[in-house]
Amino acid sequence: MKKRSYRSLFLGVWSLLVVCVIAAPAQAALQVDITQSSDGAIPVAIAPFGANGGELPVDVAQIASQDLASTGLFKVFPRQNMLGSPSAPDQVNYKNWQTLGVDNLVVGSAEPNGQGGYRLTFYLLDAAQSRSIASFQINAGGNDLRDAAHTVANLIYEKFIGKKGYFLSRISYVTVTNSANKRQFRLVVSDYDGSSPTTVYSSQDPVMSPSWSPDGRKLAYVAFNVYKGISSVRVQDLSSGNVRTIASGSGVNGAPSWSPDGSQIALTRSSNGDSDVFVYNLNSGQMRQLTRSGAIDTEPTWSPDGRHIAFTSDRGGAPQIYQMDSNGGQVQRLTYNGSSNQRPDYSPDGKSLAMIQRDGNGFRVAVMDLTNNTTQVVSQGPLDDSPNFAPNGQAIIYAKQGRNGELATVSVDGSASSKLSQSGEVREPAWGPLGY
Amino acid sequence: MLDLLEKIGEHWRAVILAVLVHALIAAFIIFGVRLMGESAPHGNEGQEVVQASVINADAVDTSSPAPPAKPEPKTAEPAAPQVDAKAEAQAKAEQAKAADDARQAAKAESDAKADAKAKADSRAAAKARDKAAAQKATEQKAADAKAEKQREAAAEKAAQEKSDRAAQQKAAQQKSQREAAAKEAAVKKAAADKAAEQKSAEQAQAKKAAAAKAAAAQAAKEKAAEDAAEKAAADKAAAAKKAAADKAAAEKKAADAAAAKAAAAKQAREAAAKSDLQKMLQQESAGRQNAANQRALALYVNAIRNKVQGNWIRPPGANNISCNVQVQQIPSGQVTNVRLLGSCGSEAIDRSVKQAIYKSSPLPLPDPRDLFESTINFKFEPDQ
Repeated sequence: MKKRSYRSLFLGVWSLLVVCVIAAPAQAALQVDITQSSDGAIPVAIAPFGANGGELPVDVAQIASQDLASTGLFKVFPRQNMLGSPSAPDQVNYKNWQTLGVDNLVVGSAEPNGQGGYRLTFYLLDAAQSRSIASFQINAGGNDLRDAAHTVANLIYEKFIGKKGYFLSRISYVTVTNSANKRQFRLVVSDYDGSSPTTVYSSQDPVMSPSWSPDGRKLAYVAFNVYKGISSVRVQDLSSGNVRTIASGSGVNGAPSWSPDGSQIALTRSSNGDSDVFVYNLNSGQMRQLTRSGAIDTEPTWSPDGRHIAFTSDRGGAPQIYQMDSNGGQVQRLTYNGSSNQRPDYSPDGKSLAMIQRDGNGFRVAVMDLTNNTTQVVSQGPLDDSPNFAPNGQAIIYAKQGRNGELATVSVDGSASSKLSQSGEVREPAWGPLGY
Repeated sequence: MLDLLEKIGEHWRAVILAVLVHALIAAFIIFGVRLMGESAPHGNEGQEVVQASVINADAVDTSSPAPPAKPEPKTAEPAAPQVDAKAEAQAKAEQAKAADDARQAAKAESDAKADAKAKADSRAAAKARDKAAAQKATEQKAADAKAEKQREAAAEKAAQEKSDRAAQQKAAQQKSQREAAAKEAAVKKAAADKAAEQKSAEQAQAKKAAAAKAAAAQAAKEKAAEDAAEKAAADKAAAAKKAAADKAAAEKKAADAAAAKAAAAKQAREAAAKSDLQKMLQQESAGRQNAANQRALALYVNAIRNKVQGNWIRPPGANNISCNVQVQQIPSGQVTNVRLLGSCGSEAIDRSVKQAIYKSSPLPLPDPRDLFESTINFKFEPDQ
């Protein structure tokens, strides 16, 4: 018996080994390495929001769709091609959407929240998985449905892009209108897409160089008084309209730029016959000179960490961009490409610098990667000006100075661009903070 | 021993018949191997079938040793018919020999032995050349061996029937020539054996011994010449020389021993050749299968990669992506589960990766289907 049990044990172990050897290759999983992705916009459809208890005064889905489409990063499925208009996940026929190539679908509805406003509920659906991957609820005041629509777009944007959307941010710019024998300059603030414009300052003398405070409540800009022959740098509170002049006089007072903490403004003033960079402390009222070269130093801008200031200088002959410590030390030249480089602006992450580069194709927006000093031109030219990063760093707004000045945005890699149509001549856009 | 030899002497017909049967079996074994060689093209077609349809690697493994096993039953069955065939062959051979005899007699009258030797030498030389080619092509060898054995069989019968010395001498010469031819094949030892046995039969007649010696001497010379060319031949030549020397001393024992040795060596060699061939065939078929599987697997992986990459829209501006994703699928290719083994860098990238895989469902299927894996490990690592 013992012998027999040993034998059966041996047989058992042996057969187990054999099974293991045979089964081993079958258990080895297949290894697939993915080293490329497909280029293309993200396909998304936002079905019209259903409304319980009356039609919505604002087409939320339409506004959110325009927001996403304006970035150039999304391929928004046109409403007229939709098969049905579901407003909840259980009304969705996923097969239909898969057939239409709509990988991502947003369905939602709004109902009165009992306080004169609305409660918006919406879902982000993955057609490939045939299920909801996220759901959201937003409360909006009766007059805030437009902002609610931008919020819908922001939430969708962040899900797909991984960065906060800028659809609630505002921009500022200068318009010039010519009528009869008068030119009118206006400083305007609008939604990021140019809608809802409001004039915050108007003058028959030139207005220039708006700059947003980090909290988005104030604007610094330059106003001229041609009759008196003076220029001044002003800080205006947008809600109250209060104005504080921080630099004024004959000669140059211009190009203000807020420090990231909002406590200082860098600006350009003329001294001893040329322009130099100064810093004004808003708390102490002290003005400090940072550059003392015999050349023109202007257009200062703060790095997001507040430790550096980049500026334009022709100390080397042609205008080029330099960088110094925020106390004025350690000056170094940053740009060597193109015949000239001007108008620096740091990206929000501080890793790149937008500028206007001049070469054989005119003046174009270029983005320099500060980690490896490579530069990529992202706009078409020939007369582009005033590049300014979006608050999430994914796009750049700039002025196209054609026959009619207009504003345009371009993604930081130059792959997607769109125009913001305005009437009249539009200059010097400045992109404000996210707004939420 | 003497009794045994006497018995052999008495039943020399039976002994020769037995030797013949062995030779035929050996021929059929080799012939069977050749059949396998001929089946190689069919095997190639079979390979295409393997690529086109599902074949278990196990099944292939077991099937590959099968072909070498088949020839054995084939050789066993024909053994009986061979006996019948021999009768016919003998009759034919007798006729042929009669014709040969007449020719040889004429030759013997007109030609001197030296001429015969010269011819034999030249034939041997030609055969030596043939050997080089024969070694490369086993099929040719098999054919040669067969032909040689038929000739040998005829020769043996002729030797038995002829009682005349002159005829025997001529037969011996012919045999020596045939032996020279026999040396070319791997089975030449058989010829040596037969020669030895024939000689032993002739030794029973005292007079024939001298003739046998002369034949043996000739054979020895020719073998020696061939020795230089071939190692295998060297062994045989040595055996033949020994046998010849022994016979000169009229020792049948030595002849028997040599014959036994040669037979044993022959069997061992044949067995070795057979097993080597089997191994080679197995390895070759396994290797072929392996290569085909590797190719099919690469195609499978590529198809999956292309589909997923085509469906992956990564978040704009997202970089430093690196993650492993384990995916389960059912045999239809339908993805049943996607599990990220750690984040790819951000929630948005994770979402894009998951969607790319689900959008690629059903995943491409392998051909052959048995390469299917229910678990796939994806590594997402662009820009590396």
